[in-house]
Amino acid sequence: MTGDGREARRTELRVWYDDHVAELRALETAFGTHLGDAIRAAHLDDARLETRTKGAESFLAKATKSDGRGGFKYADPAAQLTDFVGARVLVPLSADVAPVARLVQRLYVVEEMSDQRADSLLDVPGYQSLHFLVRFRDEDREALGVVDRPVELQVRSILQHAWASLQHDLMYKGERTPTDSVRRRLIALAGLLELADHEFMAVRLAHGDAAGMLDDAHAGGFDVAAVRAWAERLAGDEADGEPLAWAGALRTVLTALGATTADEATALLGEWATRGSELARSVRATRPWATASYVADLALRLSLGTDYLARREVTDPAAVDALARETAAVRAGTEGPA
Amino acid sequence: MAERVCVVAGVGAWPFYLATAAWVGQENRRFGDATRLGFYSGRQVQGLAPLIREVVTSVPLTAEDAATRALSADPVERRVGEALAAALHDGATAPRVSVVLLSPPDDADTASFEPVTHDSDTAWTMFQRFADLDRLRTATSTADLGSG
Repeated sequence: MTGDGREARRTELRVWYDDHVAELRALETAFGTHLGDAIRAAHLDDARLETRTKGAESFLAKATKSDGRGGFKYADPAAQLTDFVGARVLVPLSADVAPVARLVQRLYVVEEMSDQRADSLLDVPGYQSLHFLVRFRDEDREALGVVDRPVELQVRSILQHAWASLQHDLMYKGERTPTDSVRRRLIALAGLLELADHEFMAVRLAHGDAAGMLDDAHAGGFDVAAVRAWAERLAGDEADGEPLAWAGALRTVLTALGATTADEATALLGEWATRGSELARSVRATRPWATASYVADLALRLSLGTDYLARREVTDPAAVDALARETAAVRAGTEGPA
Repeated sequence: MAERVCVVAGVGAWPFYLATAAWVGQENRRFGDATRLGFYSGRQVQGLAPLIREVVTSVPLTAEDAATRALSADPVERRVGEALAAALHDGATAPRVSVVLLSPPDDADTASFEPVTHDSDTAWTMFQRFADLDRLRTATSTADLGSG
């Protein structure tokens, strides 16, 4: 590709950009309003939304990138680029990413979702962010009168964002390539910030707040910490040993079953409300990994039977059979009423 | 056509199967045309070849995934989650793994035979190796299994 060829393409694409920038900005505005309203409606009050439309120079620089073989990297950049409109949701801590992600999945057509942390080396601190490529649903797009283009969306915590911004500036915007020593110190900083995130979470929990502080599912205060305490009491376990991931999953189950307070959850257990320790001992004889949340979920299955599945809107006969087999086996392994 | 068994190596795989009726290992592991898994450890092919019921080729090995799946109302998801939880409890560490759900040891679908011993200083397999189920049923040593 010659310098003249690149200039000609820049000119052509500049015209295209000028013709389309208004509709791109309209899409940005509509997306920002739509997602912003949804975030407020879900009471995710600590989430901060930023949007942007790709600038002309940024577009032209990307659209005229070389493929290294004398041609252009993008044959049709106007159609191929997906980041004309971008959005970012910043949340306080990494545990707050999930409620926003669930909201996004409910609202939009998700064409791609990638957990940048899961895609990289899990044993090395570094870039962490949840990335989406989303489009408005047809009915929303028509109602809003915007173009059918994707929006790139990142969801990450404040600390993840701080590190990513600093790292990006050093790695990509400086005139010099960072040395191995600088890279090493950046990785160390990522580890430090990850520890800080965990410590903030511990502080939040110690203060009596929920791990999923932003989650709107339990206005009644039966949050992850409370669910964890409830499950631990049921199973006869020591306090604060239950992994939060399990308590979070159990809370989702309890919500589906209609229990949003500890009393409501206990009421669902019937006779198993007083047999949790016995059940835990029996289950752990063959499943030593069984957490208090797992035991509590099993007690709910035993108590509710097929109603457990009905409340979770599962009607598949295979699921009904599996539940019947499992609960029969557990009953056979525990003493007391059949 | 003879049923093919993929015999996987690994000291931990056999007791893990006995405890969970599952195999958890390398992401995207392929088992060729095998309909059953076998287990090679302690210089013998162990005497059970469970039926492969479900293969999940790639799943994150995290507490979040284990918990969410184990508490699922879907019976397959639940078993995958239980297998992940058991693997994590056993100290497994990998970003992602394959999970194979198998017929339990006492299930009618699980083929049983006398353990097939391996009389050699070198391992019969250090990864996985294929054998016909009929041959496993009649073999007295791995020499009777042919090249697989």
